[in-house]
Order: sequence, then C-alpha cells, then structure tokens
Amino acid sequence: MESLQQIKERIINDINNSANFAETEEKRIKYLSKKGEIMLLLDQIKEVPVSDRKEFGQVLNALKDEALSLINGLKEKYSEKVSEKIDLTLPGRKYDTGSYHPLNLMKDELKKIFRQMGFSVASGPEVETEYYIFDALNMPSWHPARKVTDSLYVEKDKLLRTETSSVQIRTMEKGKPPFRIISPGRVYRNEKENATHTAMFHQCEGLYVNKGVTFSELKGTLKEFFKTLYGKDTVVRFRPHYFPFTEPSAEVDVSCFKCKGKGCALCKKSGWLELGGCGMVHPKVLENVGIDSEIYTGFAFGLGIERLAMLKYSVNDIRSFTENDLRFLDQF
Amino acid sequence: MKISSNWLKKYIDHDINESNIDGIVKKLAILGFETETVEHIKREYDKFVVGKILECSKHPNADKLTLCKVDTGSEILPIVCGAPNVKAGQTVPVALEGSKVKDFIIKRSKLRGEESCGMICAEDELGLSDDHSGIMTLDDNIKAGTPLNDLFGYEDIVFELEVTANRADALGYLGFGREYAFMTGSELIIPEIKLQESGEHTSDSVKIEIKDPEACPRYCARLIKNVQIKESPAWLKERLTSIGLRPINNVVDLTNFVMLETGHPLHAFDFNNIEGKKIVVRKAVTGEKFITLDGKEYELNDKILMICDAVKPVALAGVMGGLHSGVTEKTTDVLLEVAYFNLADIRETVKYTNIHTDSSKRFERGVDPNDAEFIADRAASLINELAGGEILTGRADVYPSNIEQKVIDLRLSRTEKVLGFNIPADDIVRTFNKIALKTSVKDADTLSVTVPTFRPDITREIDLIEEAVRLYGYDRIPEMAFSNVSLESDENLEEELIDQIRGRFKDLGLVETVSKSMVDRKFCSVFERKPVRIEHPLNEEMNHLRNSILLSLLQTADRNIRRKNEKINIFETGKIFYYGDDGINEINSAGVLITGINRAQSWNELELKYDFYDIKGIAESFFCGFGKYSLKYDGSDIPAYFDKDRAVSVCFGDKKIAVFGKISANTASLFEIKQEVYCLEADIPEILELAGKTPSLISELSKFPRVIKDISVLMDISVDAEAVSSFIKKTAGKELTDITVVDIYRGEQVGKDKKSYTFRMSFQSFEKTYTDKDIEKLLDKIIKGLKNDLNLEIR
Repeated sequence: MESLQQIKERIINDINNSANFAETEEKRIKYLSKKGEIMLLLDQIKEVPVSDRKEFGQVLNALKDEALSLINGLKEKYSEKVSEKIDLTLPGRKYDTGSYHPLNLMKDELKKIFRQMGFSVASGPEVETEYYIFDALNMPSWHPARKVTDSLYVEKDKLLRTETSSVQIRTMEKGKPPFRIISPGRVYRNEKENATHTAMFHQCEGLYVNKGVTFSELKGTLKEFFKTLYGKDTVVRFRPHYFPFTEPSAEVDVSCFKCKGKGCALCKKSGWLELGGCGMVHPKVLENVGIDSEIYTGFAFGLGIERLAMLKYSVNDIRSFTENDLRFLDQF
Repeated sequence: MKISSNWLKKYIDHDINESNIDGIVKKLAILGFETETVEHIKREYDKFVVGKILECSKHPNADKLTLCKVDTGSEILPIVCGAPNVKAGQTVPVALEGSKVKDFIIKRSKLRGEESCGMICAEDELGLSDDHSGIMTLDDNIKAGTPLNDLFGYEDIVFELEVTANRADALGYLGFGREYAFMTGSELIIPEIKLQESGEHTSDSVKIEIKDPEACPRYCARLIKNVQIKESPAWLKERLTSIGLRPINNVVDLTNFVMLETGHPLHAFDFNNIEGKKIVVRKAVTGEKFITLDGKEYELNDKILMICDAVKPVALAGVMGGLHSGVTEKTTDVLLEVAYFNLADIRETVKYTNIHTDSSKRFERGVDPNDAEFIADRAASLINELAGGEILTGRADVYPSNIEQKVIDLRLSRTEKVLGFNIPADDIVRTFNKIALKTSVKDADTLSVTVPTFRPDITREIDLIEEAVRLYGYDRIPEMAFSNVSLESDENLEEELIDQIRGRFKDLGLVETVSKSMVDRKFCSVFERKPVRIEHPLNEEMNHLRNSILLSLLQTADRNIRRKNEKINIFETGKIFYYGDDGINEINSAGVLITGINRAQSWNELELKYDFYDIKGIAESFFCGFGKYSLKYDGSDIPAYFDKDRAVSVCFGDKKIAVFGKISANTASLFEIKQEVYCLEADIPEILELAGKTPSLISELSKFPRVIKDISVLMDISVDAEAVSSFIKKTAGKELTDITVVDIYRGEQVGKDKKSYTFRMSFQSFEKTYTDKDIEKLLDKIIKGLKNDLNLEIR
C-alpha cells in the first residue's frame, strides 16, 4: 500500500505538472473538493487506529494546506498570463465628496476654538424686537441703526437683528451669571450692496460675565483666540472706539497673518488687520438684565465672519458668498 | 470730519508735514481718532507768471480768436487767446512754454497761421474753480513777471477723521485741537476776539421768546447792521474749499467757518426779513407748511421745533434755514443765532424730514450750551472784519435755567476692577486736566471730576474709566491670560442637530449653500406659509423673507443653470419666516436640491441624469442616520409646489416630517427653470423630535448562513412594489432580513397592462442552518400567499 509520504509526493508532483489555469482547477477538484482524494482520505480518519490518528491527521492536514497554496500560486501565475493589460491612465470613477460653505467652515472653526476655550454656543431669533436689539443694549435713541431706513423692519417694533448681541441679552435674562457664550449667526442691514457690503452677513459675538472679568483679560482672551486661528506669534492691538453697549470699547487689530506685520497687500501695507470690536459690557446693559454691575463685570466682542473668511480664502467680493456659484463652492 | 492741517495749525503749535503725518495718524488711532484718508494737496505753478496784455487785435483767419502781445516781465510774447473777455490792459495769469495746463504741455506753436508762445488762463485751467467763462483777471498792482506760485501756490495735508458718535466736541477744530494738543504735548491756542460794539443794545432791537424752553434751553443772538455782502477773501475760501465746502458769501462762509472752528453750529438771518423784529422758538402746528432754503416744501407736525419771527417760521431749528430768511447779496442787517437745542428734538426733525446737515449732525450729538457768548462774539467780530457794518452792543440771550457742569466721582479701586491693572492717580489727574476735565483728589480712593458741558458723553463713572484708559494709552494695556475657569455649558440641541444634518448632507456628496433670507415676493407665492414683508427694502429683490428653504435653493439652481453648471447638487439649512396663528414665526429648515447631470459621460459609463430615485435615495440615507425608526412614505397631501405624482411625504407616526420629490413644472417655471428639479424639504424642529427619541439598539448578528432567493411576480402595472414587498415581509416574518427589487420587466411577453418584478429576498435564522426543505417551505408560503391573497402570478 502507498504510504502517506508517497501519496503526498504523488499529489504534489501531479499538481506541479499542471500546464495552465484550467488544469490547475482540475487538480483542485481532483484533490481538494468535497469528493477529492485528500478530503476522502481525511474522512477515513475514523478507521485509523487511535494511536496513529494524530499523526495521520497532522500529515494530511499539512498536505491539504500545501496543495491548496500550491494550487493558488499556480492559478495566480497562470491568470497573470491571461489577464489583459489595463490602461492605468484612464480617469477613475467620480465620487461626490460634498462640501461645506466657506462661511460655515469659518463659523465652524470659530465654534471649535471658542468651545475649546470654554464658551457655549447660544442662538436666538433673527426677527427681534427693538428692546433686544437697541434698548437693552443701551443704544441711544439717535443711533443711525435705529432709523427705519437703515434696518430691515417687518412690523412696528419688529426688525431683523442688526447684531447678534440680542442673543446676549436673552441669555443673561434667562439665567444667573457667570455666562460665557458665543452667538454666531446672520445679521441684517438695509444697505446698498457692493464688493465689501451686503445687506445680510454673519457675526460671531462673544460674552463673558463673571466676578473679576477685566479689560486686560479681554485682550488676553482675544489674543489666545487669534493665536489659535493665525499662529502663536500673532499680536493683538486695541484702539479706542465707541459702542453704546460696551465701555471702555475697542477696535481689535491683529498682526497680519500673511506678512507677520511687515506690511503686504492683504493688510494694505499696515501690518495690521482690523478684525472686530469689543469692550467691557456697559453697566447699563448689565443693569437692564438685573445683574449688579458693582459685583459682576463682563466683556463682549464681535467678529465678522465674512471678513475672516474673505481673508482666509482670498475672496475679493463679499457677494460671491451668497451667489453660490458651484464653481466657487466646489473649491472648498 | 475733514481736518486741514493748515487750518489746524492756527490752534496748535505743532508742525504737520509729509514726513511726520504717518506717525501722527498712528498716534491719533491710539487716541481714538481713526483717519480714513490722508490727502496731500499741492497746487504748484511751474512756468506760470503774471502778464500784462499790451495790445489786442483780431485774428485774421478766425473770428473767435484774438492776437495778444503780453508782457511777461522778461519778454513780450505773442499769444493767441480764445476768451471772449480778453482786453488790452488786463493783468492776467500766463502759462509759459513748457508749463502744464490740465495735463497738456504748452508749446510754441502756430494757431491758424499766427504764432502763439503761451496761454492766458481761465480759473479752471489753474485749478482754482470750475469757471471757464473767460480768462482770469488779476489785480493790476501785481507786477508783470511775478511767479504765479507766489499768488496761488498752495500746500496742505487734509485728513479725514472718523469721529465716533459720542464725541460731538471733536467735530470742531478747537475740540479736536484739544485732543491733538494733549497728544503732542503742545498748548491749545484759542483765537482772540477783537470786538467793537456800538449803538443800542441788541436786546432792544430784537425780542426773543422761547415758548418751549425744554426743546430750546438757550437762544442767544447778535445783530450786525449795514454789512456789505460780497465774495469771501481768498483765505476764507481756501479754508472752506480745503475741506470740501463751497464758498457762498462772506457772512454765510463765516458762519460755516465758526461752526467748524468751534463745533457749535450757528445761523445767520437777513434781519430785514424777520417780521416784527422778533424771534419766537416754538413747536410747529400740525399741518403747518415750510419751505427750506433748498426750495423743498415740508408739511410739519407738532414735534418739529421751529424758529419763527412774529408772523411765520423762518427755520427748522438746528437743521436748516428757510427759503426767504437767509443772507443774500441784498442783505444789510444780519441776525446771528447761537442756540442750544435739546438733542432729542433735533433728532425728531431729522427723522421726520430726513434732512441731514453739518448743523443737525452736531446738534444731534450735543453741543456746548455754555459757549454761546464766545461763539456769538467770535462770529460777529469776523463778520465785522470782512463785511464791515456795526455790531450792536451786547447780546440778546435767553437762557432761563443754566445747564451746570456735572461733578462725577471716579474710584481708583473700581477703575482697576474694570481694567485689570492700575493707572496711578497722578496720571489720571494730570491727563484729565489736560483735556479740561477738572480733577482733584477727594480721598485715597476717589477723584472728583468736573465735566465741562462740551462733553455730554461723560455722564457716569464708567465714562471716566474709559477716558482714563484712553488717555493712558490703549497700546499700553497689559494682556492678562484668559482664565479658563470651567463653567457649566448649556446644551444647544438644535444648533448641534443642524451641524449633524449638515454633516450628513455633505457626506452624501452634496454642496452646502448660504443664501440671503431676503427674497422677492413673487417667489413666496407658491409656498404654503404666509410670507413676512420687509417694510423699507432697498430694492424689490429683498421685499420679503423666505418662507421656504426651497425658495433659496431654486434661486441658486436657476443662477447655476444660467451659468451652464450642469451638475447641481446642493443643500442649505437656515431660518425660514412666516405668519402663524401667533404672529411671525421663524424656524430652522433644511433642504436639498438636485438637478441636471448626476454622472457625466465617461469612458466606462453613459451620462446619468438625476431622477426621482436619487432624491429618494438621499432621503432614505439621510433619515436612516437618525436611528432605526419606522418611517413611512405617504403620497397623499403633497404641497402644491411638488409634482403630486412624483413626490412623497416622510412620516414618523402620524407626523409628516419631510417631503421629497420632483418640483412641479409650474413652480420650476416661476424660477425660470426648464429642466427637472428634485428637492427634499424638512423642518428641523420635527427632526429634532425624531433625533430626541432614543434610537433602538443595534441588532445582534446571526451566526447561521444567509440564503438568498429570487422570485419574479407578474402584476398589474397599477400595483406598487411596496404592496408586494410588505406582504412578503408580513408573510415571511422576522426570518426575512432584507428584500429588494432587482429587476423590472415590461413587454410583450407579459402583456400590455402587466409588469414583472423580481424580488430578491435574504433569509437568515437565529436558530439553525436552513435545509433545502426549510427554504422550500418558506418560499411556498410566500408564493401561495401572493397567489391566493394578492391574486398575483409567479413566473
């Protein structure tokens, strides 16, 4: 009778003699299919004396593995020969990846940074009453924004918010200090549109009210934010300004991220980018929402999302954002 | 406000020139005065001299030209002149060979055969005015050959300041000069007044009656009689033109000059047109009419403050004079008004009439009530100087209750609490006193500050804290590290959901858009929700607010189709606005729009256009992301802007949470879109409700093999796939894990009104490996059911 070793040699030899893909497949059926020789041999294991069973099984299993890998190797070898050469330079199938709008990309980035800094995101209505937009924010009765022709009124005493600061009032009204929020969103002005002005744009305002909040901390906070946005060598500068809802108030200049303050086309040779307004929450505003301004102080700031996005993506015309030309949007 | 350095230098002892202006601009910014523009004005006359016309004769070949012989000091030149007013004996400006007149270089040339060696200039050609009616004539006392630069050469640096709305005091050279002097460490020079009064007392010549002392706390007047109205002298014209004002006559120009100098507007009346020699300050009677000096008629109401004479109104107080009361060349007696009006009353007039003037701008922000003496005297003395006449003795001044200076305490501890750093008391006292905030030490923690009435912006301690840090220098504010103390953060579920939705749409390959909320009314009409109107829109394109997110998406689609963008696959989230039962509602909405070419033709596939099953696929993928809810699709009650045969609602329980499908042809044509458009629309609060439900846990996986079987069913074309597949699901029970349609056949073989669907079913058991018998039994049950219950034929 043929020994296991002989069987093995015969089978391996036979497989090795396959001349092509079809013959290799025939060998697979001959030895490894359910009714194949190796499989039938394995089925006979029950008839082998117990003392030899282990070895019998091991040898046959090893043979099975060897035969299989040999067949697979041969198949691969023969199939290579028959496979057609494909043109690797033809374009691949297109998959849609989708994209976010640049203004929302900017907004998302601000949200991410401020969330890391411990601010919550608050939102509020876009159609507001004069109280939340003007009165509560200490806006004097003569302020130009109050003119019915400068803002978009929808009813008497109801208008599209001119600032997202209205959200600050709503937030403070609802709870007790401390508050630390940002309120990104749409704001509206009745304004003629051109390359730098639109009747609708986006702001991101921030508010922090607590005991011991100071003007110095406001500067430090904005510096922290702009360092995250533009790099750690960023410098922040304050210039005095007037806003009815903050005092002291400041306009915020940030060293140009492109030229690092040396002066370039982006910063109009000044080395600085004017990026927002800020200040200490006016005591009147705190008093309007029932917060004791002797105990609590707070700061607030506002950033223009369009302005930040225009700088970041080198967009020259603010109107391109709401034009939504897909050739423009596909680039983001 | 425009500041001419030449003018400013009259009040401060500090040089402003081309080399230091950049530094000044930077320093001003740190002090709170932003410079918008800096203009270097230079009028230089190179190769221009004064000439004397010795003789004139007609040009032999041209009627309108004159041959002149002109003495230019060094030589006598022949010059051909076309001006109608040229005459022998005139002293005139002459542009010599090589000079430049309006970008045109003067050359020696022949004009119609006659030699011409220069040009006699008109005012416009010298850049002095727009006058081109004839050549300019000069004073005959000026010698021929005098360089024109000596007469008209001029250099100035004019910068435009952005004065913040709270600083009315800086809208005058003296007020701004006070800040400038502080900044440069120089002294403010207040002009000296040389006043020569004569005759009767002003208050005997004109009576003043204030009927509304709240609206007009003070009215002060001076009278100058027998003046001569004429053109202003060059220096005055130069002052006004340098900052863009048009000179009118000496008296009017002086009132403007003094307004700009002091920041306090004043008005000059022709006293002979003031009937009854009386000024009455009162509110208008509703319906009363008034014509302003620019000839416009206004119908007034009882909130408008008027300056009247004994009979009629003569001015809109603080805003604009009347047509017939102003100073003209016929005026001989001038009544000068220096008044103080309540800010709110001026704003009322401005708001009602929409007239914005240099005067109203200052009164609205608040002028100094207590500088009327100085201003009246300053203006009167200047009028006297330039227009002659006699200034009557004293002033007619009605000021029933004196407006006092405020005294405000400034706590050093509070200052440090707000600022976060300490400014030494000495510093504050020193800097405050420099800008006329009289400050003294009250106690160890308190400074007492007397606020002059020209600083109405300072009313409480915080205003002083701002002044303290402004004068200390915003560039010196230390940065204190942000204290990242942990605060409880509020959940903003809707905001988070919006971001999640955006993420899902983007992952489905869609492009996000951001559109304006303002839209044209005509587009609102097709959507169901009642739109909200905007009251004073700048144009028709923004007279309403969008009442559907699809409105924006359709507009965007139209714009992109026009621009030949073939594949349009967009989404947007944002507020929509409408009238509900309780007034204006605004909710967040999400929308998708696809139209055009889904897949462009390529070497391995044909062009594929978007169709209904694309939007359905998007809807299915989108909603499956919010958990395994049993959402139902329902074809009834579809909004009219969708094609009712090609759209379905997505329902969760009984609630409709979204609609998707083909936009109706009518709706598309309103947006001028001709191709098929597919949209999905959902109100975000509805999805929030869905997302708020706890999603079911993921299902356990079976260890036993899956068996796949196909079955072809012949059915009437009116039967939907859903009817069959739900029957199969019901019949097979939970062992059927998936069912889908893999083939559809329609054709002669199955008959005209029939179709054949092939359903592919996956079976999997949690208990066992199926035997052939098990499967046969399952299929049998299904086939029997389809045959008997649904009356369908199995192929």
